Amino acid sequence: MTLAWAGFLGRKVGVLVVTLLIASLAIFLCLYLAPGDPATVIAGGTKPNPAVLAHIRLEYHLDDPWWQQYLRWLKGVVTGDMGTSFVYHTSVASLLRARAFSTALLVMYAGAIIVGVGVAAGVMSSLRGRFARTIINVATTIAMGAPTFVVAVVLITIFSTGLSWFPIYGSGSGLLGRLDHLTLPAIALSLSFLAYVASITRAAVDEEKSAEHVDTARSRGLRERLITRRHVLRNAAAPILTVSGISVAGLFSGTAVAEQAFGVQGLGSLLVDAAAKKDLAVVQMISLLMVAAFVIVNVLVDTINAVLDPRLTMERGRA
Amino acid sequence: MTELSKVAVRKRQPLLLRRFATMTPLIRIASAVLLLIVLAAVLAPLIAPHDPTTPNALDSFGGPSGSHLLGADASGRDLLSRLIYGARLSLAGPAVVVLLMVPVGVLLALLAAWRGGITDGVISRVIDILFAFPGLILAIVAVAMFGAGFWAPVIALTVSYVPVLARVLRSVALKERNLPYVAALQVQGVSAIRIAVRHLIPNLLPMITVQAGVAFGYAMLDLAAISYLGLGLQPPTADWGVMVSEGQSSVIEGFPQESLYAAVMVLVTVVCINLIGGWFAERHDISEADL
Amino acid sequence: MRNIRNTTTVRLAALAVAAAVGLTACGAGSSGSTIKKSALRTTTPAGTQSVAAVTWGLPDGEPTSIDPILVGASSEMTVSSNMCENLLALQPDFSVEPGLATSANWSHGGKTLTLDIHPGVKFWDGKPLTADDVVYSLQRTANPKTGSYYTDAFAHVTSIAKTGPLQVTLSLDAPDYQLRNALAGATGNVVEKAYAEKQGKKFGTVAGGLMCTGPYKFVSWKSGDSITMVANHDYWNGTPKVEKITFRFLGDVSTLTSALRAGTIDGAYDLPIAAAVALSKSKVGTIYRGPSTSSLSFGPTSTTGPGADPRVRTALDLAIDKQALIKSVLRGLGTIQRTFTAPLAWSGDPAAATYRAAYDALPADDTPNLTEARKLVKEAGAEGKTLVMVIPAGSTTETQAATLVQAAAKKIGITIKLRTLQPTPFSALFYSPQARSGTDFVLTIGYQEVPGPLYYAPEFATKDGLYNWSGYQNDQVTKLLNAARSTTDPEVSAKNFNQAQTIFNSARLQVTLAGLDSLLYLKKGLTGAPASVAYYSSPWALHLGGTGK
Repeated sequence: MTLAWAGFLGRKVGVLVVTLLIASLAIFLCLYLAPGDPATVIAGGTKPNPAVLAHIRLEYHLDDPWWQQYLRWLKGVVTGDMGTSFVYHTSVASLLRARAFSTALLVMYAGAIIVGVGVAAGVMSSLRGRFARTIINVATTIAMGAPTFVVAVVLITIFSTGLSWFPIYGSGSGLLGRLDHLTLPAIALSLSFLAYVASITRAAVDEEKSAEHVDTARSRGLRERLITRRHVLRNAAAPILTVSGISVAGLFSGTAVAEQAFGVQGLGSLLVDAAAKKDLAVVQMISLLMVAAFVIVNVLVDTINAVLDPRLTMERGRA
Repeated sequence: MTELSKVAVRKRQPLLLRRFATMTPLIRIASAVLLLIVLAAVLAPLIAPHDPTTPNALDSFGGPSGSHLLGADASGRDLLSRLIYGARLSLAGPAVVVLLMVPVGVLLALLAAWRGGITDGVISRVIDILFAFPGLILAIVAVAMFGAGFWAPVIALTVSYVPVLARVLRSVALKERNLPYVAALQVQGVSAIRIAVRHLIPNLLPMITVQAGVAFGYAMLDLAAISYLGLGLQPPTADWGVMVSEGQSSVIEGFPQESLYAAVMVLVTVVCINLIGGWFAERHDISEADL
Repeated sequence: MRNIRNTTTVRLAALAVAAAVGLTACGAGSSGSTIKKSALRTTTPAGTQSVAAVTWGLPDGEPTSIDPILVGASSEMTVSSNMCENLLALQPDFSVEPGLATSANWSHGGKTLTLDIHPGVKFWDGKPLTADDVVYSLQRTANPKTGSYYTDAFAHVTSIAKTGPLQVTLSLDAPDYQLRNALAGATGNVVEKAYAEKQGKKFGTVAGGLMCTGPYKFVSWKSGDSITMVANHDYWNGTPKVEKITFRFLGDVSTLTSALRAGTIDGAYDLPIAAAVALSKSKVGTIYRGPSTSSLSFGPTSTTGPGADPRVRTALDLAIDKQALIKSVLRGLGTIQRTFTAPLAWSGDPAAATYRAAYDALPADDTPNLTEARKLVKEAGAEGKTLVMVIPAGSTTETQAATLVQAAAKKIGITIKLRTLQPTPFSALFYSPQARSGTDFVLTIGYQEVPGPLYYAPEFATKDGLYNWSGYQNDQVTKLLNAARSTTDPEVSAKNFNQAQTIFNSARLQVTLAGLDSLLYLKKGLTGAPASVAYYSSPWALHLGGTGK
């Protein structure tokens, strides 16, 4: 590993850790300062009993100074004890464990669709004839304005009456069953990002098509397909990757809507449920996880970009 | 073109009609549709055929008819009227977000670009941290803190979008600030504020407009999603996001109209905004990479 | 954001939009009709065949706990009642029979309740049920420190003592007619002392499980996914025919409906109206209507303002078209209910006929009388006033009913503003005067999981009643309700209650919009679950089995 690489990765990881720490503090403070009494939420919606409330405040350390509560929470996060849910009275970790796989699978599925279909559509619309280009353009324009819940409702309408290719609810079991159930949510989640990636890909390929080095290759008599693969796509990869990376990172927050719409038991639907019920312990944890996922994916994208274009490792901060 | 004449050209605004004439048919249609929707929102009490909240048990789930042009929902409320009134709230939320976001974003960008040094460093770091929070997550956390409703998600989304605007404006502002005419004005003793207001901001306007348009579109999508999740405006309020979610249980009964019509309204509005925004950006030489 | 110049593009886009709108318009049908109503029944025929596994749906989502002292809502009760039993057994017709207690007899003028425990009953781990377990369970339920929801039932209980290896005696400071009814519900739950003490706070959670005597044994709880229980073949009171029951959490109407239609869920209680309507046309299973104690009503939340004036409430009661509400909001799956105490609350009581006579004498108010209503509003000086009505978030039925109330109020000159609250702040409303400030009415669905007209009436109609927020006070009513409670004679209790009811009913302490039906779905081939709401507090899966078809 060269010195430039070590410096690059060190910087990236450093920024990552600092961002996560500050994000965790921000999330903690937000919920600490929220109006309302967590003890009442924990006691459940019945006649509040002072003895019970006092006991709860002791058990959950609600009367400790805020920095102590923060540090205790942080230590717990690092060691794996993520606190106790205010509503379900079991460990947050167990609630998350039960649902993390579904969400991870959904995000990966959607990511695959975004990159696979998006890039293909972009390339096709750039390299094929006018008609294909126009159709894909119209489709992407409409799709970019289609939020997850809109696509979800349309899909539910189509597949709940008449066609029944895919189940419209639930998480399923077993890997294939899960993928079957996650197909419609993945489509709903990925459609607008897919459109965005397709349009960026098309623009990038367009630009590369007419670039100098491609003309050079063409003049040397290289076959069109080889030119596409080796020159155009390779250099177009960077912006495509960046956009894909940002899209994938944005997918995590979109799971809240996709899971809720299709009744999938995942982290997103748990977050929505917890926010409505003011289960701050769960909201804290899932928000932190989503922020972490977002930031980590971005670092990965930067790293992959640097692998493709090592000049980026020399970069010294932002312009 | 010299720097000075570039400035001069940018400050002159073409007439509205002239602008309309340079639009392609598609953009003309998009503008007309958007204008219609805004008018509907503003004139709702005058043009809606029915009160959007009056239920009528007998009309429940009715199809299109003389009195209910688009049919009625599960409670017998007129769908067309609800869609028209829904435009008000569905447009108001994003409008508030943009109205709050622009002054704050411009201020931060100008501060960072003008002062430079530590101010710029601090502001840029804060912006970077805020970038790590997707808007939807911030809005959900805000709801967990303050309860569901109109304001918590709106404020949260404003906080989430300001960094985007600030970062983009900051780089443009930096470029502007380093142009010779600014140094010339400073030498003449013109105050920083005067330079900012009379020279910098007008030249940032095209970028601000484009960003405001982008943000409006995103805010509309995010706020509708939040209402759909039950964390924003609540039923029986007539708002497109709420209508999609309220109508979802009827989809399975064979009545997808409430959800679909409201969903289509969101889609059409955002697509129009995107199209117009893209056209505007092209006109003012703002490429995709700057967004 | 891509600029498109081509006119072909414009044409294509226009076509796409037109097609989309056309598609949706095509689907418009008059699916607003009410479903064909079957007769109300309390039971379904007992199952005769064994079934290996049944998947049961919980429309209210995942339970927060299955500890009997912490079950207060639909999901919790549906799961827990098959595993942990109560001292007395609630029948499908809401009468109370001996259960784990072979007898519950009053003596000493109602100040002593002696419970004789059924011999030979074993917990799932083989340990015998003894008086120690019963004493422990009752004390745990009565102890506020455990967070138990049922402490109020023990208000008059001064001691709980073991008076024999299979006998427990409760001493009271005054007779309490309702206590015996309460023991048919979670108040009388019995759990194993040794196991509960060991699990402590984890009892009834994902980690701690349960140890009880019911026909089904707890196996596992996968958070976010399911709860599984298996048949207890050593059950003391019968043989369950279904070997394994898995509960799935389906908090969403569309999800539930698709699952039921697809046949992946074999049964469910407490079906949302929309699901019932969607399934009524399906051949995959049957929907049974049963009597319920549930009713849709709204009541005052403040001692000041027009909502606190009985004339305003009466006016609203007279202005609302309840038949139309039942038809459109409930799709016909409800009935006119003349007072907030549902008939099922007393129809299983020995003095049922006495209660019935008084109930039938109450005005039905099932046709609107706008003239009278407007007169009352003017008299009360409430014309043109704006009132705030709170409704719970996420509930279609309450929201739709509230809009109908709004429309009716408008006709008589009152403006009602709706305020939606999420579950936690909504519950807070019931126990905190601050939470109620700034509101005039709260609209909700209330039910009771045990029989007894004294379950709700004292809370609404006496000065210190838990739900008496408008400051209603009538000494005669208080005296009569006390008399109804402080007796052990069903007829005496009934007569006193009826007299009180006639008086307080005219004050419309609650404006009852409709009584709801209990809705049970069973897949073809499955039968045996009670169709009434007795499932709240009794092992409803005991007679569940196959039809053999």
